[in-house]
Amino acid sequence: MATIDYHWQRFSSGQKLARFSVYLFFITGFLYSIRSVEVIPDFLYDAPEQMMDLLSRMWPIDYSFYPLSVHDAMIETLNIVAN
Amino acid sequence: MAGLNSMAEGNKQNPFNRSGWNIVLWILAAAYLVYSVQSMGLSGERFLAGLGHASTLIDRMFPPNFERWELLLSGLGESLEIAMISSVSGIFLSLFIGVLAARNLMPAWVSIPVRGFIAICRSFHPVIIAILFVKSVGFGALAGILTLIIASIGFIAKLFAEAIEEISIKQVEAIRATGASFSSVVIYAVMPQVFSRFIGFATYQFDSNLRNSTMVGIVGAGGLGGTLFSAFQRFDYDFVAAILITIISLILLWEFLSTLVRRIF
Repeated sequence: MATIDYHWQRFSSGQKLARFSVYLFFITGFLYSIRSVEVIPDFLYDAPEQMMDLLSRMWPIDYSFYPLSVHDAMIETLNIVAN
Repeated sequence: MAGLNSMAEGNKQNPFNRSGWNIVLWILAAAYLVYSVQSMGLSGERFLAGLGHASTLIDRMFPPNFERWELLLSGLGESLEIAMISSVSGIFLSLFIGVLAARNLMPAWVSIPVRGFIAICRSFHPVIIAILFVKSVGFGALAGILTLIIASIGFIAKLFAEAIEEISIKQVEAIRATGASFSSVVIYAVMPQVFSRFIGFATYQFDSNLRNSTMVGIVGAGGLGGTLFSAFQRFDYDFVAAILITIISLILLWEFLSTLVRRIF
């Protein structure tokens, strides 16, 4: 009686190697980028404060700028879209 | 032919008749077009003058000047770092967010808020998000990275979720019938059906992030865009041409690599 002595594989070892090398390329690139990218920590620690500053200045909305600069720009945008 | 003789009985009205309102709307549209062209100051002379300016610009762009290649390379390196970090982390996050947003795997109280989050991520152009991040985390590459992570989530998590919603449910039921856990269902029933499409989306997103990483620098978020913008402002058009050629070759190189990646998977 013949025994079933093979093991089913979805990918050949060449395919596995190719896929692994793609993963390896991206992981290596990612780690290398993380190590070499220039991030200024002081700015990062300051981020919540800056965000609060931005939001507090955004509210209340200042409509007095609308006739000065927003209106013409908005009409021009619409004209560009229409043309 | 009882039903077809309606034409013979005097019902000769053109079915595509032009109504009065139709004419009025066309006249209004034409008048608006004339007004908008005039208010923007578009004219033939201006266009002809513009052609002259364009030819001077192109004259000054060639030959491209690669003398400041160190500056070019450092900007390019930063752009590549931004694209790499934002793509890998954005795609990784999108995998989970995409599963959470898929309506056939998740109950509505999970998928609806997650879909809302994706829609918020997608609602602004990357440049606007970059301006906000430059304000909050300061000038430099970090603002660009965060911007492109948000942009990647907004675009690719939606595509992931829709790919997952289109799977055949039979395989999911078969795996579930064996008593598999949710993570096993996702890994053995869902992923094999959608993985090749995910690879396609991911390579497209990397391409898009490469392009955007050379652009967010214009608002101060790091990368080649800052170099490009300052070269433009100093009228160094030959250096601008060098930067543009570098960007084009970068995109072409990724085009080649992405075909390779798609052939492997």
